Amino acid sequence: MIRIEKLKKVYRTEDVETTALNEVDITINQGEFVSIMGPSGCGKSTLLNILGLIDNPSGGAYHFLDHEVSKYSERQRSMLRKNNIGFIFQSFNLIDELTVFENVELPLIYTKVSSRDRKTRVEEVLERMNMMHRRNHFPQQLSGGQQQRVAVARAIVNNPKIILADEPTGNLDSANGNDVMKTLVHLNDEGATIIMVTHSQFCAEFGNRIIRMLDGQVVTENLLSKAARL
Amino acid sequence: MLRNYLLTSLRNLYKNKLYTIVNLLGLTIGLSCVMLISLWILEQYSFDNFHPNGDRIYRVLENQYYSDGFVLTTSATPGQLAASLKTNWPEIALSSRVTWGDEKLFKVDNKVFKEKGYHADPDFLRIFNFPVIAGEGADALEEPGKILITTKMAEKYFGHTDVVGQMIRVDNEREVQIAGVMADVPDNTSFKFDFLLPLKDYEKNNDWLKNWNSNGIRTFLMTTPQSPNLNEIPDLKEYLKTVSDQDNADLLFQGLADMYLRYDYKDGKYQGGGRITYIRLFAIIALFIILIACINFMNLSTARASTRTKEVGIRRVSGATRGMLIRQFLGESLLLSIFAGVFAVVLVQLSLPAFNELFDAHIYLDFSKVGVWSLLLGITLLAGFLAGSYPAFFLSRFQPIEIFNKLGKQGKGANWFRKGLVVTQFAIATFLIVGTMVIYLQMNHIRHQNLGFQKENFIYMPVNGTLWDKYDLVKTELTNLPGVQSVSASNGLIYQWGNNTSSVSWPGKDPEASILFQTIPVELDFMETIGADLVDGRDFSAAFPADSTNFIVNERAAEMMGLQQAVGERITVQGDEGQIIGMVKNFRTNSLHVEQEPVILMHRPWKNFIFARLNTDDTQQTLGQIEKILATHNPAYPFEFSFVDKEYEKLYRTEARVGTLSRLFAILSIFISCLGLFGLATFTAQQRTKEIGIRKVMGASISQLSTLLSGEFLKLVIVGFVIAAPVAWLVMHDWLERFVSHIELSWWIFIMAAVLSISIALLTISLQTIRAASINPVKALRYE
Repeated sequence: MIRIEKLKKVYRTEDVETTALNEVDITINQGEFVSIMGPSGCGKSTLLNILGLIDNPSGGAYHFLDHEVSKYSERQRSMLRKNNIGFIFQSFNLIDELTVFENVELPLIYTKVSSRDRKTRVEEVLERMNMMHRRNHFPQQLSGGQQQRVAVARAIVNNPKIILADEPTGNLDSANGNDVMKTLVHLNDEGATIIMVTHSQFCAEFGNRIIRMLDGQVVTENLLSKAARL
Repeated sequence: MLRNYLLTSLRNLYKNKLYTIVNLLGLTIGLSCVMLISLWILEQYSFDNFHPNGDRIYRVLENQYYSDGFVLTTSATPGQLAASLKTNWPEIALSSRVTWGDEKLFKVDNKVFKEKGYHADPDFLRIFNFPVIAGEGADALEEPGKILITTKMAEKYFGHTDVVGQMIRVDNEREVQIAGVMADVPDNTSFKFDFLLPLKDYEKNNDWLKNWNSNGIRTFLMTTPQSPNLNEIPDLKEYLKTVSDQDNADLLFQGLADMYLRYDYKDGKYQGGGRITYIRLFAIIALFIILIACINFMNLSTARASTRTKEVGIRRVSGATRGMLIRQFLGESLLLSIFAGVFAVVLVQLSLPAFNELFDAHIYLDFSKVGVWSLLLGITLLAGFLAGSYPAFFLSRFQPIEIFNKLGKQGKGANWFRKGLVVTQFAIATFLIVGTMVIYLQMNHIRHQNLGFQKENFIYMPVNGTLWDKYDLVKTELTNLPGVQSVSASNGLIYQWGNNTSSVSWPGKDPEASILFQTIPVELDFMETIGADLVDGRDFSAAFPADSTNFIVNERAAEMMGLQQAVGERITVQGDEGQIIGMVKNFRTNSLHVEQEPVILMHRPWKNFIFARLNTDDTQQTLGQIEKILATHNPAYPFEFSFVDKEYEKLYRTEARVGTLSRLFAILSIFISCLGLFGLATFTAQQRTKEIGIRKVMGASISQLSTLLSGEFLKLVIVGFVIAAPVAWLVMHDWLERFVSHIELSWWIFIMAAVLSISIALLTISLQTIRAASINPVKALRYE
C-alpha cells in the first residue's frame, strides 16, 4: 500500500541545512497499524507529513497506492489525499467557528458528496463516536477527549484507506487517551490502515508494528502480536 | 459548501467583533460616500441628455479678440444671428433665440406670483424636447400675446391644468392667452422655466435685437441629420464678419452635451474645465475613500492571517483546493461588503436631503429602477472584491505543511505590502488635509478681500412696475429713513455688471487699439452708496447738468487708456462724447476668478436695481420701513431685496461647496484611516505581548515601550506625508492659479497638516500601545 525507498527530506534556510529524513525505507501493507516512535526531532512528524501527502520529499521514491507520488504537485497530492487519507492531530485541529457536525462534514464537502448523503454519513460516524448528542456544539464547548473523538470522526467520515495520527493522545488524560486508542484499534480491525506517531510506548503497543527512528533514520522495527495490543 | 462558507464567515465576523466593527464602519462610510458621489455624477451626466436630437443641437458662442490680447468668449450673440444662420446655411435646420431667464409677475384673480421663464422663438420647442401636453406647441411662440405654461404653474394659478384659452396678467400691464400647457421641466436641464413667451414679445422693447453689432441674446441651433460638426465648416466660423461690423469676432459652436459640463473658455479655446472638473475631482475623492476603507480590510485581514492559518490548514488537509479557499475568503469580504452596502444605502437615504441642499442637486434613490440597484450592488460588490482579493490570495497561498509546522509566518513581502498600504492611506489623508486647509484659507481670503466697495449693510432691490417712474420720489423717502444712509441705482448688479463695449476713444488712442471696457450706467450718489473711494475728481452731481454726458473711470481704465491725468480729459463712449470728471479706486465688478476690468461709469437713467446703504443696528425694522415705502409706490409687486454680501458669496458657491465637501471627505478619510490604524495597533499589541513582557522584565519603562510600539506606525504616517506633500503642493498651486487674487502656499500649511495627521494617528494608537506597555510582564509571558 505504501512503499518508500531511500526517502530524504532536507530543510534549507539561508545558512543552515538540516536533514530531517535520511534514506528511509519503509513498506506498509494494507490493514497494518504501524506506530512510529522516537525522540523529538528524529524526523517522525516529517515522515508522517510526507506519508500523508502534506509535504514532498527532497529525494527518494514514494509509492502510494501504486502511484509514484514523490514529484506530485500540491494539487495532485490534494486529490489523492482527500479521497484516501484521514488525519488525526495531537491538537485536534478543529475549526472553532464550525459546530461538531460541520467539522465532521468538512471532508465530504470538498469531495462533493451530496447534502443528504453528508448528513447520513456524518450522523453515522458521530453515532459511532458517541458524539451525536453534541452535534450542535462548538469545539470550545467540548472536553479534550470529546474534541479528539470529533477529530477521529472527521478523519474517518470519508472512509479513508489510511488514517494518519500524529500524537493523537498527546493532549489527553490517560482515560480519554485510552478511549481514542481503542477506537483506532477498532477501526484497524475494520480494515483501515493506521500509521501513528507517538512518544508513548503504551500507545505504540496498540499497533502491530513499531518503527523506531533516530536522527532521520529508521533504527529498529518490531512486530507485535495481536494479543499485546489488547 | 456555500452554507459552510457562509457559516464560517458569519461566525468569524461575530467572534472578532472589534475587527468586524472597524471594517464594517470603514466600508459603510466609504460605500456611502461612493454611492452618493456616483449618484451625483450620474445626475450631472444626465443633464440635457433627454433631447432626442441632442447630438445635432449646438449653442452658438462668440469669440471676440481685443488688441490687448484679451479674448472674450461669450454666449451673448446678435439678435439677427439665429434667423440669418437658418436662412443661409443649409446645414442648419432649426434655430432659436432664447433670453437669459426672465422673472415676470403673473396674476390670476387674487393670485399674484413671480415666475421664471424665457422668451424664445418657435423653433425652441422644435429643437428641445419639452413636451406640450395640451393646446398649441411651437406655433404659440409665433406671435405676441400668447404664453405656454407648465402644469405646475397651471395648478398654482388655476388649481387644474385645463387652462388652454384662459387669460393671465403679465407684469401688471397686459393680459396674454394661455395657448398651451407643457409638462413640467425635469430637474436635469440647463433650462429652468415655468413659462415660455414669444421672443417677438421681447423684441418690442429691445430694439438692439435688430442691430448686428449688439450682442445680448443666446442662439441655439439644430443641424440637419447629414450636417457635419458645425465647427468643421470654416466659412461658418467667419460668418459674423460677412454680415456685421464685428470684424474682431468669430463663431464657435458648443455641442449640447458640453453646455452644462464643459464651459471653460480662455483665449478663445476650451480649457478642459467647467463642471466636469468637479466631477473628476469628486470621482477621485470617492475612489480615495473607498480605497482607504478597502485598505483597512486588506491590512487587518492579512495582519491577522496567523489566526486563520489553522483553519486554512485543516481545510486544505480535508481536500480544499486553493481556488476553493480563494472563493471562501472572497465570499467573506463580499459578505462584509454586502452588510456595509445595506448600512450605506440607509446612510445615503438619510443624508440625501442634506447632500441635495449642499450641492443644489435633486438626486434620490429610485428603487423601482434596475439601474439604481445595479449601481448600488455594483459598487458594493466591487468594494468587496477590491478589499477581499489580496487577503484571499494571501491567505489561501499557505501550504498545509507550513501551517502545521507553524511556518505559516508571513514573509517580509506581506509586511512591506501592509506598510505600503498604511502609507497610501495616510498619504491620501494628508493630501486631503492640505487641500482642505488651502481651500479654507483661500475662501477666507476672498471673504476678507478688499473689493473696493463695502459689501456689508448693503442691499439691492429690483426695479419693476412703477418704480422706474417714481424713482426720485422713492429715493427721497428712503433716504429720509433713519436707518438708510444713501440710495442710488444702476442697470446691473454690483458683482455682475452686464454691459461692455470696445467703442471707446480717448486722446492719444492708437487707432488699432480695441479694448473692452465695462460700462455702468448709474444714478446720483452711487459712490457713497456702494462705498467706493474716489481718488481724483468728484462724483456725478445734480448741480452739474452736463454730468448726464460725463464719465467717471476707474484706475484700471485710466491705466489702459494711458492717461496720466484722466480727470478733465474728454472721451467718447459708444458715440457719446463727455468729460472724465472723476477717477474711482478699482472696485471688483465680478468674481475674483477674473482680472480687474477697466470700468467707465456714466450718469444715465437706466435703472434695473435700486441700491441702499443701511446704517442701522435694527436691520429688520429698516427693511420693514423700506417695504412699506415700496408697497405704497409700487403696490402690484411684492417686496424683494437681497443683501449684497450674501449674493457675493454665491459667486464662490462652487468653491464653497467644494470646500465644505473636501472638509467632510478629509475628516471621513482620516477617520477611516484611523479606524484601520486602531485595528492594526490593537493586533500588533496582542502579537507582541511576549516581546513586551520580556522587555519589561529587562527593565523597559512604559514610555519606552509606548515609543517603541508607536514609533513604527508614526514612521509610516510620516512617509505618507512626505509622499503627499509635493503632490498636494502641485495640485493646490494649480487650483489657486484660478484666482486672480490668492493666498500663498506657505510652508506652515504643510507643517500644520503633518502635525495634525501625526497627532491624530498618535492619539489613535496611544490607547492600545499604552495599554500593551502597561501589562504585567508575568501575565504577558504566561500568555505565551
